[in-house]
Amino acid sequence: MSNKIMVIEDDEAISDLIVNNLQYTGYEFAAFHNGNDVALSLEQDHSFDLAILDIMLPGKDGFELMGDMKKYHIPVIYLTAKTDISSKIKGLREGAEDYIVKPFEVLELLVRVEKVLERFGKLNRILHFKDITVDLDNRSVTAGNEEIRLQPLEFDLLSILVKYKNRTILRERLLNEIWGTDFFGGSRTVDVHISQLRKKLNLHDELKTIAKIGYRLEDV
Amino acid sequence: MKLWMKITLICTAVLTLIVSVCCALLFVYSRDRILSVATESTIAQQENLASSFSQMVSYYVSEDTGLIARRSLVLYCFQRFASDTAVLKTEGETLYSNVDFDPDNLFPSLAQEQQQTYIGVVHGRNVLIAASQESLLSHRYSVFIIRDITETYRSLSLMLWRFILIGAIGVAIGALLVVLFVRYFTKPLKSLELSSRRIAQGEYAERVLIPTKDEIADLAEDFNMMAQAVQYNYRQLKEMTERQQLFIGSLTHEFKTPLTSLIGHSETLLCTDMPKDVINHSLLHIHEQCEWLERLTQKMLKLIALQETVSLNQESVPNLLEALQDHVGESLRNRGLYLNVKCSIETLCMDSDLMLSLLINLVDNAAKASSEGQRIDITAYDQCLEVVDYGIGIPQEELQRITEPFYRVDKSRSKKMGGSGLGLALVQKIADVHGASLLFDSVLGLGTHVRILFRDNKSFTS
Repeated sequence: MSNKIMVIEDDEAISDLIVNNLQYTGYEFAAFHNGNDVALSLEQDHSFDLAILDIMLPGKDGFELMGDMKKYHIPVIYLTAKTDISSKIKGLREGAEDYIVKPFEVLELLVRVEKVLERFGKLNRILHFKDITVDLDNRSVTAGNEEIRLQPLEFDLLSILVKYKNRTILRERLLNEIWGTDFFGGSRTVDVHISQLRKKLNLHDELKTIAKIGYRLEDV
Repeated sequence: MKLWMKITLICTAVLTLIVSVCCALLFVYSRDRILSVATESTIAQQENLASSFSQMVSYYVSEDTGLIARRSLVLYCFQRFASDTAVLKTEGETLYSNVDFDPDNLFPSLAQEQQQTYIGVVHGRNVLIAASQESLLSHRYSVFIIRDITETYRSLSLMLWRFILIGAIGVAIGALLVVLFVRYFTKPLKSLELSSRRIAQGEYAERVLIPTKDEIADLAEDFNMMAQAVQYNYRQLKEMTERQQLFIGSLTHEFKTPLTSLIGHSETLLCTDMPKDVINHSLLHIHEQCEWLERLTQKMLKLIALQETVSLNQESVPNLLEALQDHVGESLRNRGLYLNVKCSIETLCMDSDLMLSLLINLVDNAAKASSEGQRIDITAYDQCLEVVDYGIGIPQEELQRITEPFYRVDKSRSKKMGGSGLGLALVQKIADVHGASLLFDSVLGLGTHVRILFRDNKSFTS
């Protein structure tokens, strides 16, 4: 069962951007461009796992819609161009799960969506890629029936690659997600771990290096 | 040195000088008066003594009186009248004396029938001596009256000290009064000083209040005017900075939405294998956003270029309106709108390129507010240009803010129609450089009425 996400954003280009990427990652979605439509639609159907909500909206704005979201227990990620701290605090205090400021990177948004879903226990904890099974709760990996021992960082790297298979993940993004923003080791570190994964899991064909961009696990 | 100190010192010095001179003159006059009274009375006494003595001697003594008898008689006669301290001498010999010195030495030139006086110090005492020489029966007798005036001198010196004391007290009181007065009159200066210090510290609303009607009050008035000018300029500068910050804030905000699209869509194209139609759609979004950024920068450039001054000339209004029709006629027809132009004036003092840009912006806004089949009226009459539409109108409470950069009445609708949010800011700016005022009237659902009122040249020159 895939997760169903509401995308409430009035700018068509940004709405399309989010929707396309959610769909590509394997989520279901419903897009809205007007605050009033959301309120009406929720009365009919509120089986959503998450809402990505722009604050500046025609009709009911993001803060006003928060009440409706709470009523149906839908976790919210705010999306806004406002950078000032006060509106950030307001957003979080009123019950938003997270807050993302425009302009953002697509993968950053996807990661935050996933983290919120994970917090609400709405994510599948077992991932599959070909004959490889990744168990996020036990942090174990099996290929076929054989258990493969991975270093903790190798495990994190594999999880991201499997979660976002068929998507090139920027090398910088991987560094940020796994090693953290304050890591200055350089991108060579990523290369070393990638080649370890290739060797241990026999992913020589599937785990591709995309020159100058990053890495991709391809489902060919 | 402080002003009040200077004034006080100078006044005190002058006061001291005047008081000293007055006291000195008064003292000298009083002393002379006292001494002359004493001298006159002594002289009178002496005269009295001398004449009484002479008469009596003439009465009792004759040419043939024996020497011894004569001496006794003379002495007797003298003693008879000499009630005070007196000396009688004849030919250098002292016949009678009740003082312990010889006054004869003090009168080296005592002559016949001539009265002399002497004032001086003898044996540590101040004395006043009056003397005369009497010729009696071929003998010369010197008659002296000696008066001890030490007490008089003592009281004179006492008087001098009193004068000095009173003078000093007078000067002190005078100086005190001067200090008080000067402090009182320079008090407004102190409040001026405090006020200017407060203004220097940034309290620009500070004013001085001086109730008197003197030069300091005039100064205070000028000072207040200056403070007002400072406050006004400061407020202007502050408002300008705030406006600029607001503008930069809005501009950044304006850039964020297209940037989000650009970054996101290009990242998606780079990192995913979307179906062909999604790829095209993303590329279309990227293209649109780039164009939108381009439009925004163009408008920005225009707005910035307008900060410089432009030259205004009397230019033809019919030509302007014709150019406007050339620019907007086609697109209005495509949207099913109809432009109705009326012109009853020949020229206006303007830059016709800028004015064209202004009208295009207004007509563009009018078109966005109108729906198919509606009319847009453009009228030029006596120092006024009008653009009237019969569209959706603008809410009353928004009218104040519509000329602010990036202010949009209906954000999503305006953006969909390609509005930059800078159109009316540009219109306002162009009106400003023409010295024209921009008036908006609007009723929701009935339309909007925009007037550009040019300043009347006649009333301007008079």
